[in-house]
Amino acid sequence: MRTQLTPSFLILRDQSEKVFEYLQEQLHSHLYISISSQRIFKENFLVNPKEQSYNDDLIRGMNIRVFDGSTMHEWAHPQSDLGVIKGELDQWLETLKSIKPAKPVYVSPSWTERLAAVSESEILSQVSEAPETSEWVHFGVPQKKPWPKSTQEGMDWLKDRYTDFKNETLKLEEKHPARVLDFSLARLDLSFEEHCFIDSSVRMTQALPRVLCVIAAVKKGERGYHLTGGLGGMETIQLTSEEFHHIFNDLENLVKAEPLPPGRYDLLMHPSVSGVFAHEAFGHSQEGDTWARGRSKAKDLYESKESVGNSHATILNNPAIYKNAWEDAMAWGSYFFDEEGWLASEQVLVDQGQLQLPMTDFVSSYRLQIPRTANGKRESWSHGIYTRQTNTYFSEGDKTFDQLLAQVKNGYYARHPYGGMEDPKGMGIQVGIGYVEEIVDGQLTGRTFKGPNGGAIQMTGYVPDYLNQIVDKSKIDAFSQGKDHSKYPWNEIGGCGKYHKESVHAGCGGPYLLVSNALLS
Amino acid sequence: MKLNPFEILKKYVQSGEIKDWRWEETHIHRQEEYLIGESREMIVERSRRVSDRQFHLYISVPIGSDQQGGYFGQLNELDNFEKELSAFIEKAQVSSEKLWEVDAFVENKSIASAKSYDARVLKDPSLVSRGLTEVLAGQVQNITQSQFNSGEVFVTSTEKMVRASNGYEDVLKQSKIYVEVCFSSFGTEESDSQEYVVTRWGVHSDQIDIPEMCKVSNENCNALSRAEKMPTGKFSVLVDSEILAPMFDDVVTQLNLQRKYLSLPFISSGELLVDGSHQHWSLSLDPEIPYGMRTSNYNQWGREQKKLTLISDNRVTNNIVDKQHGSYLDKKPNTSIGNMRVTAKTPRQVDELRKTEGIVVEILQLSGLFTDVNTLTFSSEIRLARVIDNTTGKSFFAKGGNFSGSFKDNTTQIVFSNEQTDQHLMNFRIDGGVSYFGPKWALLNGVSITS
Repeated sequence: MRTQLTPSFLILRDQSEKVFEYLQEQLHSHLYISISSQRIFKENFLVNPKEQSYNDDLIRGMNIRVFDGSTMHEWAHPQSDLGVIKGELDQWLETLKSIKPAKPVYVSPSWTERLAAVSESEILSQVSEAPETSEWVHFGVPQKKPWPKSTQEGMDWLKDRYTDFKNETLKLEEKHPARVLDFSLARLDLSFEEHCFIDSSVRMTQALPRVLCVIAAVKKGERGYHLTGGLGGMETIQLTSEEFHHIFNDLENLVKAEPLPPGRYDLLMHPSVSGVFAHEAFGHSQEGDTWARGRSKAKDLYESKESVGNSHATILNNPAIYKNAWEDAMAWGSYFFDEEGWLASEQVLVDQGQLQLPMTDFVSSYRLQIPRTANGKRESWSHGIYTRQTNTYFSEGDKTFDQLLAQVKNGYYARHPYGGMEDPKGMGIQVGIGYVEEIVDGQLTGRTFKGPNGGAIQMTGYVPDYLNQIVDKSKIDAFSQGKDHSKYPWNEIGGCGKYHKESVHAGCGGPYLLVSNALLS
Repeated sequence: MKLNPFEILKKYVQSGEIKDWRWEETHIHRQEEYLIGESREMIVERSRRVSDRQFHLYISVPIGSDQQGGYFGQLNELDNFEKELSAFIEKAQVSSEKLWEVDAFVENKSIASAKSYDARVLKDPSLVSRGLTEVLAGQVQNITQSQFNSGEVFVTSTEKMVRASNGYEDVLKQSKIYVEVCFSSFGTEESDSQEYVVTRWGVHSDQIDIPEMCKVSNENCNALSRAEKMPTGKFSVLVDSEILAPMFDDVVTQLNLQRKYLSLPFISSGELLVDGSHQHWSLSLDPEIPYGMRTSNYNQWGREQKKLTLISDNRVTNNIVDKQHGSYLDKKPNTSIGNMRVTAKTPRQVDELRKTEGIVVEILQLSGLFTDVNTLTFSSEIRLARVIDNTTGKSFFAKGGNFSGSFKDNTTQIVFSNEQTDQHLMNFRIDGGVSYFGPKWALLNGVSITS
C-alpha cells in the first residue's frame, strides 16, 4: 500500500489550487506562476537512562512564486485559505501588477515532456499515460510494516529497542568499555511529509514517510552510534545485536585509540565515508546556483574540459533511489519530484574524471541556460530554495572488500564519517573521520587512531588531487563474490547545510573506496 | 458559557490533571533578498516575504508520586481547545521525567527592559532590508579590484507572547539580521579567480557593517589568488571571534548542570578549566548585554536572568543551573540564558600578538570549523591565513592544510587582544543562535597545522 494524502493536506492542496487560480486572474499571463505547499508532521520519541520524552511539530505552509524573467518574487505564508489571506496577498500582488513582460518568460513543460525524461518505473507506474493539466497526479511510497498507531505504541516500541540494547551490553565482558556506559539513548523520528506543486502545466502531490532511529552510547566522552531508517515503513529499521555490537566496537576502538601522527597514508573508506567524500568533492561545486553565482571552479573546469580525476572518479546524484542497495527502503535523499515540480532522475556529475553539467533549481537553470534537474530543495516552506544534493555517491567498482584490503600495505580503514566541508571555488576539501583502524600487509591490525588533538581525524586537500588518487572501488555488495544484485550503491542517512545555514535531508554513499596519499591529521 | 483556553487550563490545573502549562503565540515576519552580480551591477535574483504565526502549548502532568510527563506541541484547533488539550494530556503521559516544581513568577518592576531587538526591524523588516540592500548596492559599484558575485540580506522580526501557569506573562521581541557578501578576484594567466564570502549575523542593524564586509571580501579574494602552501608544524595561531565564539560555546555547554545529571562530560564548579594555565581571563553568561541573541530579562518560566560569572582566572566559579536540574541535584538555580562575555586581564594590541616570537599563523577563514562539545577539540581545513615569520620578517598569505587542536591544550598560554567585538552566530548546530562579546582576537599556543 502506497502512502496517501491526509485529509488535512487535501484541504491545503485544494486551497492552494484556488489561490493559484486567483493569481492567474490577477497577474499578467506572461509571468510564470507556481505554488508549492507543504505539510510535515514530525514526531520525536526519546529514551535515555533518566527520562523518556515525546514531542511533535506540524510544519505547514504555502509558497507562491512569480517569475518575471529576471527576479523570482516569493510570498510564503502558513495559511492557504484565500478568504483568510486575501488582504495580505493583495497588498503583495500590488507590487507585481505593473510587471507585464512582452512574451512568456517561461513555458512549463507538459506531462508528456516531463515523463519523456524519466526512466524510473516507480515514477512511471504512478502516472497515467498523458495526464490532463488539471489532473492531480499523486506519488506515494510503499510501506510494508505500518508505523506505530499511537504515541504510546511508538514509545513502547522504542523502549523495547532500548532494552534490547541495554541487555546486549550485559553480555559483554566485564572489562569492555561498553559494559557500563556513561550515557546512552534511543531515538525514533517519524516524519510524514506531504507536498504539492501547481503551475500552468501540472498538478502533483507526494507523501513521503521518513523513519529514522538512532542508538547512541557515550563512554569517557567518546561516542558510538548507529543510524537506521529510510523512506517507508518500520521495515526500514535494521536493529539487531549485530548493529549493537558495531556500537560497542566503535566505543572500544575510540576509547583505546592512539593519536594519529599527521601524515599521508593510503585510506580505505567505508561507503559512509566515501559518500561524504563524493558529497564534498564534486557535490557542492556542482550545485547550479553556486555555478550561477560565480562561486564554483567546476564551471571553468567543465568549460575547459580539464580532467579532474582518474577513471574511477565517477560521481552521481540521484533523488530517484527507490531501493537503497540491499535495504528495504528508499534512500534518505529520495523523492518523486522536487519543490519546483521537477521529476526525479539520476544524473552523472563527474564521468571518469570529466565534469558534466551541474544540478540545478529553476532559477539557476534559467540563468545558466542549462537543463533543469530535480534539485530545488528547501529546509521547510519558510525557507528559500537552493540547488541541493539528494543522494550523492561514487559509482561502484568490481572488487570485494577483501580484495581492496589486500591492496593496502600500510594504511588505514575509515569506518565513521564526522562531517565534511568543501570550498567550491578553491577546490579544498575536508572529510571528518571519527577514527581509523590500521592496515598492515592487507590485514586490519585492531590498532585504532583518532586525531592528533584527541578529536576527529580530518582528511584535507585539493579535490582533483584526491580524485586522481583513487586506487580502486568495491562492488555494491562488497562481501559477496558474485555479481551485484542491487541497482544503486548504498546511501547513508545524512543531512547537508548550505552557506552555513540551510539544512536539508541528504543521502550519500557508494562503494568501499581506496585512495592513496590521503593527508590525515 | 464557553471558557477561553486560559480558563480551561486553569480548570485542569485545579483538578490536578495538569501540573504546569506555558502558552506561546509567535509571529514572525521576514524579508529575504537574494542578490547576484551581473556586469558590475547587483540585481535581485529572488525577493522573498515570509510570514508565520504559530500557537504552541507546553503542559506537564503528574505521573505517580515522583514522576511527571511533559509535552510541547503546536495548537491547531483553537476553536475546539478542550478536545485538543485532551490529546495534549495523552501525549504528555507518554513522557516521563523526575518530578520538579516550577517556581511562582516574581516580577521585578525595577528591572530595565532587555534590549533584545532593533525597533526598526520590528516595525518593518522590509524597510530595513531595503536599506541594507541599498548600502550593498553602493559598495558593489565602488569596488573595482574585484567583482561582486552574490549576496543575501535576511531581516526577521519575531514577537512571542508568553503566558504560563506560574503567573509569568510577557511579550518577547527579537530581531535577527543576516547579511552575506561575496566578491571574486579577477582571474589572470598566473592565477585563477578566487572568491571570499563574508557573513554576519546581528540583532541590531548597526551591528552589520556592510562596507567593512565588502572591504574584507574584496581584499581577501585577491589575497587568495596569491596564497602559497601552508607550512606544517606547531605554531602560535591568531584566531578571531568567529572561531572563539564556537570554542567558548562548547565550554559553556560543559558547564551546564544538565550534563552532570545525564553523566555527560561536565566541568564542575571549583575545577581548573585548563591544567597549567597562568592566564587571567574570565567568562560570564550575561543576558543583560544589549543586542545579543540571548539577551533576555527572563527565562522561559519567567525566572529573572542576571549576569553569572562562570570562569574566573581559569577556575570554574559557577555552573549553569536551571530549576529542573538544580532540584534533581540539590543546587540553587541561577542563570541559564545569556550571551558569552569574555574579559582578559592583560590583553595586548593585536599588532603585538602578530609580532610574537617565531612563526604566527593568523587564520583569516576556515572552510568549516568542527568542534566537539564532549572533548573540546576543534579542527578545520584552512581556507586562508596570513603566515607571519617574525624571525625573518617575512609575511605571506597561505591556504590549505588542517588546523586542529584542543581547548585544554592550546589555551594554556592564550593571550587576548585589546580590540573588542561582538560576534553573533546562528546555524543548524546552534539552536536559536549565540552571541560572543569580548576580545576580537586571541593567540593560541602550539596549534598543529598539517599541510
